[in-house]
Amino acid sequence: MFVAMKSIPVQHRDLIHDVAYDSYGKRLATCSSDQTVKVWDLDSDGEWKLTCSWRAHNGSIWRLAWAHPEFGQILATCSFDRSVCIWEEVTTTTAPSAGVGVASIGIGGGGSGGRPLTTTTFEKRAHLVESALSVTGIQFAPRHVGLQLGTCSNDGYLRIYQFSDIMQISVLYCEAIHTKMKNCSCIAWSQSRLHPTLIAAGCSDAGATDAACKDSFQVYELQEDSRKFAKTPGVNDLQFAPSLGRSFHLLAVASQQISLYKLRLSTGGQQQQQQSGGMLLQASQSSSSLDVGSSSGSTGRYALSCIRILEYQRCQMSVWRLSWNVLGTVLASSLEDGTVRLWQGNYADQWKCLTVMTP
Amino acid sequence: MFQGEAASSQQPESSVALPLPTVEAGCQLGAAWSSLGAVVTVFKAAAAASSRPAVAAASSGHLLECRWSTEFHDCDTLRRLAAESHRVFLTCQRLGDASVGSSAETREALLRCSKEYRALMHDCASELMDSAAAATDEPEAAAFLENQSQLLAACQILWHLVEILWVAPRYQSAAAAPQILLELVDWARLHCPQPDRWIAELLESANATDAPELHQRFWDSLYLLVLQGRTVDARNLLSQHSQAGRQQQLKDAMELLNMPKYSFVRDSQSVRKFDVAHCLWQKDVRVRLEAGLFAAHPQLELLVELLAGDEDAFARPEIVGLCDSWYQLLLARLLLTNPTGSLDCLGREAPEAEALYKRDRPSQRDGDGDGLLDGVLVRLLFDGQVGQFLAEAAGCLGSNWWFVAHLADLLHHCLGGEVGGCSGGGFGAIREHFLLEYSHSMLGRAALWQLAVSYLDYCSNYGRHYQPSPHAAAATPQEALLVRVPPESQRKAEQIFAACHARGLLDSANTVARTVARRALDKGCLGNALTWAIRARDPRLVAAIADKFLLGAGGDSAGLARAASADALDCLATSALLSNRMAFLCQYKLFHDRVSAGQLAEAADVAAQLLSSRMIPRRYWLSLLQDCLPLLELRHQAVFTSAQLFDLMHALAELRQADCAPAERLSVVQASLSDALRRAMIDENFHYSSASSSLMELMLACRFSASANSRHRSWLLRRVSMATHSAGAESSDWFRGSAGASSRFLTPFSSWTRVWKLGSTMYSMKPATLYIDRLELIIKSDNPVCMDKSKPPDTAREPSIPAAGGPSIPQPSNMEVDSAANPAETPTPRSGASQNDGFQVVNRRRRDDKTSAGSERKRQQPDERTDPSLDPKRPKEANAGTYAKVATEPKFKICMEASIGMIDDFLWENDALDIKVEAIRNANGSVILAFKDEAQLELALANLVSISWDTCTTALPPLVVERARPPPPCRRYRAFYSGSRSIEEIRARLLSKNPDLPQDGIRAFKEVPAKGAPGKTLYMGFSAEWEDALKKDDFAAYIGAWKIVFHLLLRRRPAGDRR
Repeated sequence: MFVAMKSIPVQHRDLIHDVAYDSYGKRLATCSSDQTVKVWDLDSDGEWKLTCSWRAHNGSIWRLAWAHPEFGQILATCSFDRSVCIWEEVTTTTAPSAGVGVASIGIGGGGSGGRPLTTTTFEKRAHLVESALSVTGIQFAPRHVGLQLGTCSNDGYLRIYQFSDIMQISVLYCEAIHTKMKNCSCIAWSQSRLHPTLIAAGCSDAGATDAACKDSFQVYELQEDSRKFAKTPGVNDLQFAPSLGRSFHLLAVASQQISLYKLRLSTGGQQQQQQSGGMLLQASQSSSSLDVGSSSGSTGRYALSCIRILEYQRCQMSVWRLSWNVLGTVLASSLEDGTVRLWQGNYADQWKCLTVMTP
Repeated sequence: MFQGEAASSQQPESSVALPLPTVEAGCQLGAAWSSLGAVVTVFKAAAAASSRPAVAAASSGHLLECRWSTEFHDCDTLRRLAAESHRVFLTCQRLGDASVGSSAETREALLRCSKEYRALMHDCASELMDSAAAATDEPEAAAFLENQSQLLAACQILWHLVEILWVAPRYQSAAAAPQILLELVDWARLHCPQPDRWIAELLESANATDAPELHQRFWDSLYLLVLQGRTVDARNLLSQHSQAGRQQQLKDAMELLNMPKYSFVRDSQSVRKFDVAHCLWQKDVRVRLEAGLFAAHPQLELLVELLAGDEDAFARPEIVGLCDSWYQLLLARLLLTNPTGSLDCLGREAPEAEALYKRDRPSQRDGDGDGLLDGVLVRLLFDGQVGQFLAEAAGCLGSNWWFVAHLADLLHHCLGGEVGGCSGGGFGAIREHFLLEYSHSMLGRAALWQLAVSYLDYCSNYGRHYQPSPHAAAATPQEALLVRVPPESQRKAEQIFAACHARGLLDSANTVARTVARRALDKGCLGNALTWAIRARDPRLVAAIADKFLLGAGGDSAGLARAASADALDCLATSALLSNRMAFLCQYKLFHDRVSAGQLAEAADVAAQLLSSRMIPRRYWLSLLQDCLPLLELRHQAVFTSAQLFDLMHALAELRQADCAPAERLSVVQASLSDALRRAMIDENFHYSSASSSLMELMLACRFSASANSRHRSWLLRRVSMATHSAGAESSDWFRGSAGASSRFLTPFSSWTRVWKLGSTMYSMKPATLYIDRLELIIKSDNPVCMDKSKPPDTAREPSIPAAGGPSIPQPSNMEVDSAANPAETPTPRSGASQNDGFQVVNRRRRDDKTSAGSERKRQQPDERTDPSLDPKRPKEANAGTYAKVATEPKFKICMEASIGMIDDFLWENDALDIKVEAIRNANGSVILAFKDEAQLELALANLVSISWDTCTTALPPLVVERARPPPPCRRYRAFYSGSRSIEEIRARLLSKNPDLPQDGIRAFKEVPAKGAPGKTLYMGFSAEWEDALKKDDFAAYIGAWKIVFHLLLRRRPAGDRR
């Protein structure tokens, strides 16, 4: 049973585009079209308090992501202004000026002398301007891969930034992959550390007729650049589930419905890869994009199978955003009709709608 | 796959109305899971990343945080239930480990566990009821508590049923069936206390009316008692009938109520016996019924019909209406019609009973308040579909995963994999699913994370046992969970860290430690950060923190000392292995500790090691060198050995080369260093014979002195000459060979454009290429002509010259350019004193070398020749021989070209030193200084302070040292003293205390009139043994009488002296 806990007045002057919790759920960052980023901290009363707010870009900020706290408090933002920024929290503690009353008036405590005043700011560590068009998706790699950032942008490139030194996060190396997809809109890293790391990118351009753009999400394996794709019209979001000891990757793709894909390292696929001369593109078997449930590609080293389509009363409805819970057992999705649905998978790979949150 | 998929999909979705943001065109909703517990944040976003929404977004300023209701963990009582049931859960796991439901003891133990669970639930339910009653002023809270209490009570009933059917040991199904039926009937009775209440009422009213049968509930109670198998109670009640003693029918009925009772014995015999008894009894009942005995008494007749197991009787509305639930009806029917039937009957007859029950209550289904006991679940149990039961129960209970998780776990232990309703080991999956969800529900509560992780430990599928690979532990849900627990406090961080370690999740432990370290680092708690970084075994982080330590120190030595004295470093000895910086910090601390403890030599050792190992960042070298300054400047004690000083010098040279430190600070260090080196070398009686590598170092030292102190430089140059001299061709060869390789050391010579002639070996080095323009070493035999005449050209024909220098003249490494430009060149054509045969010899030798093909090759591959000992042509012995031959008269001279003022300075200096020196001016302006003996010469050379070479570059003063014999015997005297006591006095005194001192260990050199003191000043040398003895002696007594010039050669100029 879901209950509304609280409404957080974030006071952005424009639409909020993304909300990111940190690894512990104690910190929240919001970004908006008003070109600002706000960071909120959960205080001991369970209230969100604004810690920091700053103008981060010269354009709408589409997405933002936290790095794992073991790398420090690092936030990445991507924006319409074609750039990606890396921000790091800097806490400066200034001792309360002893004699000067004016400075310490605001702090409270008055006669007791006042605690040291800590100010939190986020400093820009890197400003990445490789993209030629708006950068629309951003996600940090799972922590076992180290500090890496994946971005995708409307120019069809997937860029992976590696931080050479975690203490000097302003030094980055960029690796770019051309996906040949127009309007890349979302990117996701696989979460399992038992398997080679995968990156999935999706594009939201549903009406593309160009043959090169017909696949609307692609999955890359980092080392070998093996590519997989499947056709679904207009992918709005995709997310890998936390791995949880699974022997396969679980990828949720939001389009006109939610498709769950199992990506499994296959042994038989290798011969096929050789046959196709190393190129990994292969169309999935069904031409109609609506019954992806029956489609399965098995190119390359990976077997891709759609295990379940989560849909509601068999009607097509755009699914906008996806989010997995910590254990990867519940998937939250927001739908076109203004509802939020939670899907839960059970022990037998049955996915059912757990709750519908309606306005 | 479980069977009831269709059923579950038909289950209505729970729909909640929440104040979600409204969606306009061009906008979309976003949903994000919080990592902490079950919180979803809903916000309004633009529809597509590239398109601007058309609407003005004034209303978008808020997020809605919704959360999975964790009411189960909101109340203290229920949290206590969670904590206590965890204990039972752990017991279960231990039992399960022993053997999965196989042995009887395990089954009994599991049954006990089950009962414990039920007891906990019961306690909790009543406690909740109590608190609900207490919370009268808060109706909402009270309602919540009451609701939870009822829920728990219902759960407990279900659990009891499961316990009877699945948990309790079933020995043999045939024998156990009647027993289980009885228990089931009991179960139904326990949870349906109605008849007892009625009877109580009845009896009360009976007292008043004397005719209980007139009470409306009399017969109902009687029927219910029979339905519940409580025939004895029924008979007692019937005996209360006012006509009981009089009516025969009643007596008969009471007799018939003596229904045979099954008592469980562990053999099938008893079942058969009971069966027979039951049949006989029921036959009797039927016979009497058919005889119409009770026809006159319809109520009684119904009772007997029930006893007879008449199906129609059970179907009668008044009977059905009595039952609270269909399963009560079913159980009663079974009890009376087929008490020995197997448990399959339960499932078989259930639909019929249900239909019967529902016939009269069309609206009952939905009217029933709690969905748990409405029959679906029980039906599933009766059908044997435990898995389906659990799934349905989970659906009914919503966010309360406690019940299903624990029950599924218990059943898993009791039944193993084969459970009705599941196939293919699916039950383990169900159990794990519930455990996962239960853990996840606990995540929302910060205090419960340990419980949550503990439950995950037993998820063998998704958990750590799933993958056989050692990395499997890295991908478990425990990990996912543990790294998400915020380590807010030290204590919690420790707990999480320990929890990770206990589960072998080292990677997660490291992550946790790294996070804590990172956080502490951001806060500036460096010590804490360091501790955690070391725990995380992350060298990069340790190095970074160590850097912060050093950075905070500010780069100066005081700050460095402050950093090193931080408490955090005290206990980190082992951590030094993780990072160079750490090792440096620890060593640096050690250095300071030792200095403060007075262990100066050890401290010097540490410092030299630190610098030579290149372990520390270059920017700290100067700080360390400056820290060494007090040690270097200790007058009375040579703290550093010359080898260590060379290490320091190399470091300094690199610093200078890198140009990363202020020059003036370097110069200060340099001056001290060269001074200390000089003292150390004298102190150690630095030996050159095999020290060709030291030669390089000497050259380096020369370079140092060049800009620091000309006195030292000259002294060192002389050392170079001696080294070259004793090492002979071997070293010069090496010199040539390794000039390229050792350019690191030689680079400092680049500014050196002066020509030195100091012996029979000549080196020519150009500034740009070989760094020393020319360095000549000429050692000549004593030649009276040289003393008297200004020009010594004919010394070339003396036999000693080829003997001294001949065999060892090397090929200057870069002479070719020179010779091409000036084939007949002499390096310094102007210098008259140097116009001796040394150059001719050099030139000749060079020509010789040109003829040999080997030299070319040598030049091209200089690196291969770095070891001079490989050179087969070692002319050292020949050298020594020739020296011995020419040792005639000990006259020691320095022939130099210098201005008058310089010589005056020199003489003044030597006067202060009590050195007898003769200065002879040559016609060409050069000066020859003559000394009486070698000790004097040595002293003078060591104190050539006033010849400031830097100021007379135009003069290019060559320095010629002339001496007649190999290194003097006075070398063995380490210390020189001057004082007024006679040598005999000292010798007698020291010998009396140390009789085994060597006789020749002390020697008087010179007696001069003491300045400003009566008597004579005695100048004497002490060997090492004698010096030690002298030091050990009661020194204070001598100090008054003695003017002691300790280590005279290390003497410093008086303050305010000219330089």
